[in-house]
Amino acid sequence: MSTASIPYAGSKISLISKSDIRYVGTLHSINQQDSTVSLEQVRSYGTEGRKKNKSEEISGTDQIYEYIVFRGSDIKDLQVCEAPQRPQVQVPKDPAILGTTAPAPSSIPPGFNMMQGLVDGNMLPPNLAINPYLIQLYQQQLWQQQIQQQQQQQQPAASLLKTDQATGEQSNNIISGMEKLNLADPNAKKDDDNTQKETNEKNEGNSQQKDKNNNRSQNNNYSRNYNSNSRYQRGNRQNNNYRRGMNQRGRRNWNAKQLSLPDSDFDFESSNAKFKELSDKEANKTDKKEEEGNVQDGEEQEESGAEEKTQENFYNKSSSFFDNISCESKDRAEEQGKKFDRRAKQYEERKLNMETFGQATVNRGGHRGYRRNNYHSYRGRNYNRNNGYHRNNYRNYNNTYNNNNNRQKSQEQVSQNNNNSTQQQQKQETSQ
Amino acid sequence: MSVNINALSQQLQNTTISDSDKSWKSQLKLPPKDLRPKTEDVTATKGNEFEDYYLKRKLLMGIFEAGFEKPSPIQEESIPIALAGRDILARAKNGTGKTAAFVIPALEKVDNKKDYIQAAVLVPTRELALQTSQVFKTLGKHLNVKIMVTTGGTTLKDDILRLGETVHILVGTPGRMLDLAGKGVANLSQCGVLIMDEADKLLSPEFQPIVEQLISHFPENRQILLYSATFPIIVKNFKDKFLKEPYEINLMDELTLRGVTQYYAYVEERQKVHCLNTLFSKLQINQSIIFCNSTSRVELLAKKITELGYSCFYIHAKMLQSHRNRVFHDFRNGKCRNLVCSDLLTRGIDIQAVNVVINFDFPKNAETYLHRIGRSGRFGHLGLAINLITYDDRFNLYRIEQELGTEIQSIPPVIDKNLYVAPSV
Repeated sequence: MSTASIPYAGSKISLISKSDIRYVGTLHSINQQDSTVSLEQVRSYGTEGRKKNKSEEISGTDQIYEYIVFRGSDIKDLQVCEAPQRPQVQVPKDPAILGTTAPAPSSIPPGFNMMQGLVDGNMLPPNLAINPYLIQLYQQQLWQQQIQQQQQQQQPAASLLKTDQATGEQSNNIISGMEKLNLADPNAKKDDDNTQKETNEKNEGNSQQKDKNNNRSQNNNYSRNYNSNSRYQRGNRQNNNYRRGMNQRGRRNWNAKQLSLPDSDFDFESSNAKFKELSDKEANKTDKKEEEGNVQDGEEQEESGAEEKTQENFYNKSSSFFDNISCESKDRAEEQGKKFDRRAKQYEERKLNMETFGQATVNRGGHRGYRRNNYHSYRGRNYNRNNGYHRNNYRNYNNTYNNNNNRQKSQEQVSQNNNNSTQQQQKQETSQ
Repeated sequence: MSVNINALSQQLQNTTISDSDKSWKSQLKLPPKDLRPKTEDVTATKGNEFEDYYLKRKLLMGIFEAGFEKPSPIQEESIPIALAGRDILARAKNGTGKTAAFVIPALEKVDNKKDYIQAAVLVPTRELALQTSQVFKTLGKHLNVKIMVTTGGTTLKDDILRLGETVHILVGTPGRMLDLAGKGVANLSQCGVLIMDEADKLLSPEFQPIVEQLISHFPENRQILLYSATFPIIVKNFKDKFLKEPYEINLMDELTLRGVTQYYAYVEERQKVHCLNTLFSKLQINQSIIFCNSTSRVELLAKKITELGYSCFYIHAKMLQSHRNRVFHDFRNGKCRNLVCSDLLTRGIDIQAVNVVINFDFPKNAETYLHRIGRSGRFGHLGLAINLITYDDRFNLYRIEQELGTEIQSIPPVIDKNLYVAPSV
């Protein structure tokens, strides 16, 4: 859960504090409310000659700090870039540093949850997970930003943070703030992905450990952590509620879903070659059988001759307006004859999903049978039932107090971005 | 006074019919021309012009302003016959202009001075209903014809209120339309035209009883028009029972589209996501639709794709209708490159920018396959269909190839861009 709350999380950020010390790290999150920027894997490069008085110069260090939260107002300059590698020493004494430990997962301020999920699909916050459309809005914003990355002017983010704060808007406009932030590094997205994967792996380990603790103490830990963090006073109550409903088991499953893909491209050629080999073998077998059959019985030949023609039997404009291809209603008629075993079918699907995606269902591996209701109906007449399911689910806690606001905002956001992005997309399309 | 008359007669003299013709045409706000190459599926026409059908001037304006230039083959065949009032059984390939082939005559026939429903259009899905009503609105924008969409998943009360006002053309899905007709809210007793798009789907066992009941609400002398790319033999029963000497239009010499190149990639089930990831990195996707065989798989795949860092939406029948609408609307407007979906969007959905269809799960039958790959290569344009095939799918692959009389080739290491990416002009 420690990954980023903003789309550019994971990109390399270089920032200079008011004390003229330059830090380079991976962007973890930006907190609008408190005007803080959090970096991971941070390295200090010292003042690099920016101090007028040479005696005040502070040298950098090659020590890497896991996590640092910077006060936005103490940041002079912020750029997204590839960090130059230089070996240096010493811990910096800098008032800009608020802390050096990552906040606990529960300490995400309520307004933040939405953005959190955006980047990190596999850890969508509860209120998002409940609403497929919100997730998609998210992804859409991501997508728009990808476009904008290529087009926008560079601007220091620190100042942006301040202006955004000045307008007194909610943390949602982090996105708009971040949109203005240009990624100078075209590989930034790649980085992003990698760091995501890494952190996910880490999380898996963590959550397994956590699992050994019992539920209650776990929750206590969370809320203690949470309370000690005075920054997140707003929404305290709600957040606790949400914690209380949090189900450890569900949580573990949530994290355990990362599919690891090989780094190399999928090899179509060799895979298809394998397939040809297989089908050739099968063809040989059937050929042999047929031959044997032919020796025994002359009628077989006629049959295979008839098979050649069958294509015409499926559709032939000149003989009939209608076709005889396999279709949904035929399939269904066939199935009707068979005994329909819903449970077996469900089992089959879960098994198949496990194989394809490493998980059987989308958000709640721990909640067995939750879909049973849904299976009955055909063609989406059951959206109410679907809601009913959600009502029983812990994720709704967040939903009640937060979701509506967020949704509205993000929709506004989207509509603001609409013009922009369509234009840009059109440009892209024509360039293709 | 005499001066005025003189001036008027002067003007009359100077005015010729061709002049006025030119003047209205020159005032049209035409969209930029679509210069992408097109296949014979839409270009093999007899050379008719829309003007040949003696349509209302205002309808013609709507047609041209929508970017239509000349009628496509199915439009050439269908429009005059439909205007003549005959029942039609029309078969044309996916994306070759069937919708306009019935929208244009329907709009022409409707008299906006009469305040009752004069044409009803049935479609199998809500998304398709929205899309079709949009075509009505676009082509009929100068006509002042009142179009209403009615589908499940919306509040019945709103529909009832709406029907209190004038509606000329009702577009909807069978269940809701029957509901409204049965309640006496939608009066179809003077509705002379019933159009069934994706007719075979509407006449499949799940819909047929509803449709037949609905027909009983229409007047005895109604005209019925059936359109689809697939017509299984079961439709014949319906035809014999309800259509009066239907005029058959069949423009399909073969079943598959010429502009769509089809490939398969052999994968193990667990390699599918990896394979898709590679496809994303290799293909020039303008917009893509990715099909899965179940709603849970749609959601799971959408999640994986997002994790891989690609943008995607998803849509399936078990979502709230309001969410479905947003996703559909936004994807159509190009807000997102990839859309993962179930067979909800298999039929009729027309998104011109889609140049790649991926069957993440291979379909079970030829009909579904044909309609799915028809989501790319719209209106004779080029498109690509890529099928992920597992060991268990192989017989389905052979069978579908055979039934459709088409070849699905093994995917080459490099896919020629010219097969599915329109050259930039």
